Amino acid sequence: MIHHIFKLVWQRKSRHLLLSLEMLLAFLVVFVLCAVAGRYYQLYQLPTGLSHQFHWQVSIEGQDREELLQHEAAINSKTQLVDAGNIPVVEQYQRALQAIPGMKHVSFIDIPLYDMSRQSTTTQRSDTQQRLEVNVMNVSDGFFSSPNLRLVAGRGFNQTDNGAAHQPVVIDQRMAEQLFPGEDPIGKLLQEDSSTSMTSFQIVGVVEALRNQGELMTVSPTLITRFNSQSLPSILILQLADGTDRSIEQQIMQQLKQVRSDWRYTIEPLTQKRQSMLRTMMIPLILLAVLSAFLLSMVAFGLFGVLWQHTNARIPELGLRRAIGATAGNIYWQIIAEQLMLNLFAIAIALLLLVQLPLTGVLGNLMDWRLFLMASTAATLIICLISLVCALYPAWRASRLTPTEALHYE
Amino acid sequence: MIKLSAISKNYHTDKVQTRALDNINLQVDAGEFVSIMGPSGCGKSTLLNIIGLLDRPASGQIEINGQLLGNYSDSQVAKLRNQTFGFIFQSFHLINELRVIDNVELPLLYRKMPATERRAKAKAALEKVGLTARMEHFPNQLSGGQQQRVAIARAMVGEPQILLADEPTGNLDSQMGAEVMSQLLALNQAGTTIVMVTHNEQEAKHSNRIVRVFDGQLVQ
Ligand SMILES: Nc1ncnc2c1ncn2[C@@H]1O[C@H](COP(=O)(O)OP(=O)(O)O)[C@@H](O)[C@H]1O
Ligand SMILES: [Mg+2]
Repeated sequence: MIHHIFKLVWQRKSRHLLLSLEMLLAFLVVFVLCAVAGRYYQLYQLPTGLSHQFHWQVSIEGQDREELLQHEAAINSKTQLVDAGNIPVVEQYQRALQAIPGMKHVSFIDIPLYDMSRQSTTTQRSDTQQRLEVNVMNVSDGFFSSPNLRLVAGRGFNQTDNGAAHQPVVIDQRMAEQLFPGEDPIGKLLQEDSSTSMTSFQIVGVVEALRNQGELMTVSPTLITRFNSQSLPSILILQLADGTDRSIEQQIMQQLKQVRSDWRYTIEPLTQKRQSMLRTMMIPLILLAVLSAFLLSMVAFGLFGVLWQHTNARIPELGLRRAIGATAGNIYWQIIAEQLMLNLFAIAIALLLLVQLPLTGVLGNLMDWRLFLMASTAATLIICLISLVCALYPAWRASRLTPTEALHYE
Repeated sequence: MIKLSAISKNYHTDKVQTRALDNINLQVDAGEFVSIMGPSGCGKSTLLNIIGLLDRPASGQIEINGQLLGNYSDSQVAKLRNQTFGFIFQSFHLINELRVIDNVELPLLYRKMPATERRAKAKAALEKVGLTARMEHFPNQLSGGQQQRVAIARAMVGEPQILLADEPTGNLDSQMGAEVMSQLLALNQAGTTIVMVTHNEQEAKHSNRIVRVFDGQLVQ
């Protein structure tokens, strides 16, 4: 019977050409949607190196230019800046915040977490001069106490790095793979890619991952530099005891104001920042899904109309089949099977085109075989389901006619 | 073999009710060749369709091989159509997208049968109607007479006991009609029961018995 249906579909291929083309296009759209969704899912599964539960982020604003410049000059000349009681402002924040009951760690970073911003630079190996474009993030020693920032080799920053000949850096696994394939990166030297800058870095550790934008950030090589305790802080990450709720924010604010009351502070739980970041990053996917749904409903209406017409046009043939022994069920399944088979032709052609993507690797690591299989399976199921739904009613109606009605149907 | 008792059939269209068949009693015995004659619109096709279980009567009873057809399920009726009856229509009703051989095979598709056996039976049926050479043609590459012979091969491929033919020569010129008639006579001689609707008195003379219908009723 399958062979028989194949023959029929094949003989009617020219009549079904437009319909197949429509199904092919619909498949491509659904494939793209599924691939993007699958890619998001894959990214979501990857480690971020970030923890958000019972973590708060404080951003500081209102530092005036002069003060910033002062600090920068002090850092560059490697002299201690004399501040209130000779204590650096970073240290003052540490002390003030540690006084809060339940405060586990305070760390300082230079770009916000779960936020759109990212900064990048080009770095190069001191030995081979091989260059690489990397994301950079500046973090204080305490940042390594974050439970999800897992070291796979070496160590994080600590006091022994003070006054080291080379500035210590930690890199992520992706960077280790790209710049030091098959080598141990620990102890290797890097330099900034500008002939004027003499700064050189030494790799002291490798972390699994650090993606400051959160789960949906693409994976790219990342370089982590050490926060200088003499500089002015701009973002603080506070890790509090489990079970702490937002009422702590008032207390945090009080302590912050004790250090500098002229600066402005924004306190936000990271869990909330993460939620809103995920929502923001999902917008393109949602837009694509809405567009696809719209397009698919158009395709479905079109498909239904065409199937309705095609089925009507061949009712005498179906009547003949009934007359020579087909049951109503045979007719019903024949129409559905023909539609699914036609559908699979279109999908096969589309897949033949799409398989070039992972085969040629034009999309790099955006599309691997797993993602391709996932997206093509999902898209095939969706298109077949649409086909099936559109074929059900015409098939049912054709199968209800008595043989005589069908044979003489005009 | 076939026994119709008090069969009636009405058609309703746009508030007009047509009594297509009115209290028909008819018996056809095994091996008979019965011709049904009558003016156009008198109910001949309706009668043939009811005999062949293509349509259900409004009232009355049908017995086939001594079995009374009561509330037969769709699949039971389909099985009878497939195995007990063979149909030939005035307009052939061949499937134009299928080759001659595939058209002939069609009734066997609705039986459990290996593909090779189906093919062998279809070839044998085509040989009987003398169309072996046209096996791989499509129906519209054949003349009307040849198409009707393909239809005969299709009706006979499942070796039914009863062949029902509704004006089988109606769309054919006299020479092609004669060819088709000789095929039917050969089949009847080989033991197949035939009920044929015809307008042609000459053709009807070949049959054992002529049943005349007028306005939905049998006349003697
Ligand atoms: N499907 C139908 N709907 C309504 N009336 C029908 C239908 N089929 C047949 N009839 C009517 O029933 C009568 C008998 O038709 P039919 O059996 O086809 O006659 P015949 O084959 O003798 O020419 C005619 O009056 C015809 O108009
Ligand atoms: Mg008629």
